[in-house]
Amino acid sequence: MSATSHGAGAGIVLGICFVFLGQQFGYIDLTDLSTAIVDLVIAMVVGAVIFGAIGMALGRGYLRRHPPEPQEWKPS
Amino acid sequence: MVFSRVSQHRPALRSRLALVAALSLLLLLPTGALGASSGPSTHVVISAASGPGSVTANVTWNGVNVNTAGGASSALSVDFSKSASVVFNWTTPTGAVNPTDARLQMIYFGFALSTRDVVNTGNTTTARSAVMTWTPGAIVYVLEGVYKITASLLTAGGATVWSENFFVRAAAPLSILAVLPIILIVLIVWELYSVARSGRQALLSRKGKAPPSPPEEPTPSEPTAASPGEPAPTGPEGPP
Repeated sequence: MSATSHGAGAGIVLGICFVFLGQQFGYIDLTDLSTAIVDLVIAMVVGAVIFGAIGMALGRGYLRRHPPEPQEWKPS
Repeated sequence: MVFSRVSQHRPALRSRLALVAALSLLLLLPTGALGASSGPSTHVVISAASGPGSVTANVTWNGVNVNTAGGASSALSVDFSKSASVVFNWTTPTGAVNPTDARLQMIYFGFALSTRDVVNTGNTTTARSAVMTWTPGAIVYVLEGVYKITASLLTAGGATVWSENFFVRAAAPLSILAVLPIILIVLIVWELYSVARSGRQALLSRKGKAPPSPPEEPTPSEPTAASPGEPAPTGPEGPP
């Protein structure tokens, strides 16, 4: 799993959590099923894009600071 | 091979998806089961009222008319830990069927999270008012936030003759001490920590794919035919 997909997966979960937390704190209305599903899908997509980009940036920065060592081939 | 680091992070994705599924179940199933118990009739206050036209009614929640809370932004602030006094008053045109059931339904995700009824078992033709003591039940420990409530009047046959939607805003103690907000906050903190560690995922992913090719070694040429000094291979039949 790459850093981008790792961040995107976390962003999907975070998008769902933020929508439910917004409803719990009274900022979002989730009473109608269709609008609630639309809100959740939008939050998942936005979360995946934003946190996927963050994960990609963090992954590149980490690889720049910690370049992978060349590995030797060992027969099994 | 030592390079076959085959998707050791796949269980992390599965556990995350399982966590989301469990959260969804926590939202939809248990709360519905906890709050769906419909209380039988409490009591009905008989009052005399009459008027022409269709059934008209008004509902008060602790003395406040609910038509002032028609939107989420103007929701009534309620305390889930205390009961509320809900009063239905209606007028029925002459000759129309008088409603016998006053109902409150708390709506969440389009489904009824909690239903309360006051059924008139007395004189069904003259009753023009009903009083309900509303309590949310066990969901007081689970949920807070803005919810839509539908107040409706039903006839004995189950037909809805009047209904009105209004919104209530319920606050947990200290604004956060309900089960669902606590779980959500813990989940958000965990996922943010997971994103902060995603740089290491890049290194693991880089190590896990594209193993280097084995070094080129001079291999002796394979003998394609038998050498003159070696015995010829025998056939499947073998020596007699």
